[in-house]
Amino acid sequence: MSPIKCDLLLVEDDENDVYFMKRAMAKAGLQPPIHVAINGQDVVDYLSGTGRYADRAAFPLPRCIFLDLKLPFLSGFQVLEWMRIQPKVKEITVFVLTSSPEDSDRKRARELGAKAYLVKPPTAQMLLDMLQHLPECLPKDATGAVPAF
Amino acid sequence: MAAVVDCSDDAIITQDLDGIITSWNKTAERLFGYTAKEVVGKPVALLVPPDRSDEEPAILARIRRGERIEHYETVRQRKEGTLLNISITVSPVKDDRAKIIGASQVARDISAQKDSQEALRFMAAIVQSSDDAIITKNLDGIITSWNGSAERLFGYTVAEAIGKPVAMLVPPDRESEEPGILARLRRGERIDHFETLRRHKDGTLLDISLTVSPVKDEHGTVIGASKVARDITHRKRMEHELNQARQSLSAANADLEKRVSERTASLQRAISQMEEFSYSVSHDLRSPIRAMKGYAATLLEDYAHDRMLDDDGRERLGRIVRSGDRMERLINDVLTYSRLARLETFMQPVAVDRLVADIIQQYDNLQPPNAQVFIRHPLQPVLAHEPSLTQVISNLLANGVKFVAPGIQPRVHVWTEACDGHVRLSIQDNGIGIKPEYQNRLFGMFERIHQNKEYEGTGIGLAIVRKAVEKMGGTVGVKSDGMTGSIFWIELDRAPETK
Repeated sequence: MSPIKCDLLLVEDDENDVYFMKRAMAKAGLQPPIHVAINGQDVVDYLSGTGRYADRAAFPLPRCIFLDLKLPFLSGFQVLEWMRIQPKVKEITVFVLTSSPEDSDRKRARELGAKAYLVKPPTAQMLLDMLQHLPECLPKDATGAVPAF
Repeated sequence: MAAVVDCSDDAIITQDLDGIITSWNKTAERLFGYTAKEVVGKPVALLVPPDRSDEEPAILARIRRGERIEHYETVRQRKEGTLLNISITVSPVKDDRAKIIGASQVARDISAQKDSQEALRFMAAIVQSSDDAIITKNLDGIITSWNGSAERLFGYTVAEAIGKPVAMLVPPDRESEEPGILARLRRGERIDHFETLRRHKDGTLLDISLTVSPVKDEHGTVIGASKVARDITHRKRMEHELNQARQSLSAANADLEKRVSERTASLQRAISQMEEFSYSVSHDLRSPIRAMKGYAATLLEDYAHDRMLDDDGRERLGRIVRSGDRMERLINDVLTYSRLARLETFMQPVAVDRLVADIIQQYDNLQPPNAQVFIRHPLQPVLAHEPSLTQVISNLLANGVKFVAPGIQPRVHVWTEACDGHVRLSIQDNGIGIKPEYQNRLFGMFERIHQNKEYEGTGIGLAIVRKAVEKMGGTVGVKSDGMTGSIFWIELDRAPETK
């Protein structure tokens, strides 16, 4: 498999979970550029290109976002609500990646426009499945099924 | 003269000194029933009842001495035998030379008078013996009669009361009552069961109920009043006590309600805080566990094949992973429990047959060769919250196949029976059973009866079952002798008939 070129933004405050995500990506044979935002405010700053994210060359708008729900400052849901009213940002594909298996969270995420809902820990297969939503990012030889909620 | 005698209202009889009747007027005929013809020449003793046979000789003896007998009340007998109350006046009859030659007897019927006297005595006896104080007074308010109960009630003797103003019984703050009562009496009105206070001779106040009626003379003129006073002190005291008891009861009730609602509110706050707490703690506990398990798994994955880890190292890492798994199950069960507690349970008819079949299909350990589940069809539908009921039945079936002695294939029987508008779903296993002394702890949180490692569990499964069943308004229980397996049962409302 060949590495993909799409930029990914991982929104995750737990460094262990960042490690497992990167490991699952590597296991899946994907080595996309992964940018990490560590809380709800951080992701808003990244997407608006303000503060330390002002340099769009170093911090390009991602093709997709893996979004945790339990975040300091702004929750994942608040981030989703904010994204819906941002002209450039609302097109970005969002996958929720959370430790909550609650149906109510799943439902809310779908209502707010998330493309898929994943329960931690992430696995290689899970990531390959997600990329079915983003065919242009997928390595030619990768396999996976388009997942539903 | 004879005409006058005949027309008299009184019977007039004359007799000689031997007591032989010599004349007999019309009234005598009416009164005694004999005609003049029948009795003239007969002895006057004919009219005397046997028990008074000595009366007539005595009267004659007095007549001979020239005495007159006036208004002597006695009894005489009619021709047909009935007795007659009469008043007789007997006077000597003299000849020209003033010699007594006989007697005239004037007899008056006093039966009616006697009856009314009798009635009066009777009335007087009733009045005297009444438990109510009965007083009469004239229109000036002066007491004219006073019975025995009046003596007892008010403390004044007859002698002390008669002739005194009735106002002496009225306490100073009620003086205005008496003129009002008198005014109503003069108009001929009656006062019924008027509750008021009166004063005893010793000054104590009495609760009484008064009935005052006008007393009229034969022309209908009000000449006074009769007063019947009943002592209601006891009744009043009872009423007062009853009233106080009622008031303190309702105050206590209100207080109790207030306290219950306060406690309920604070309990509900505590419960929801606790549920909130267990929910968020469980969530927060998951990520470090996931990290521990995750890192141990990566170590096994990355270093095992390269012989950088020996068997002992792999075994220890395996233990970390398994401990993490167990911790995760515990957390999941606590989460399930708190989710159930917070859940709105919408009740609807659930086809238990289908539900049980789905559950068995979902879990390998409920299917051969791991286990056998026998269903006694049909299982009756119940009114339940389907996700909760699924949880309950899964937990009970999983328990049923888990707690068996080594080497024995778990066999579980499932059936329903109707009882009293409910449906009882029973799940019987061939497991190791639960001794009766442990059964009451069974449905509590973190209660594990079997410490044996072979029967792995979190101790929350049955707490979840109970919580879920209770949320659905049902009951749960277990029957076991501690040796030959157990029967766990739940009872829920029967689903209404579908058309």
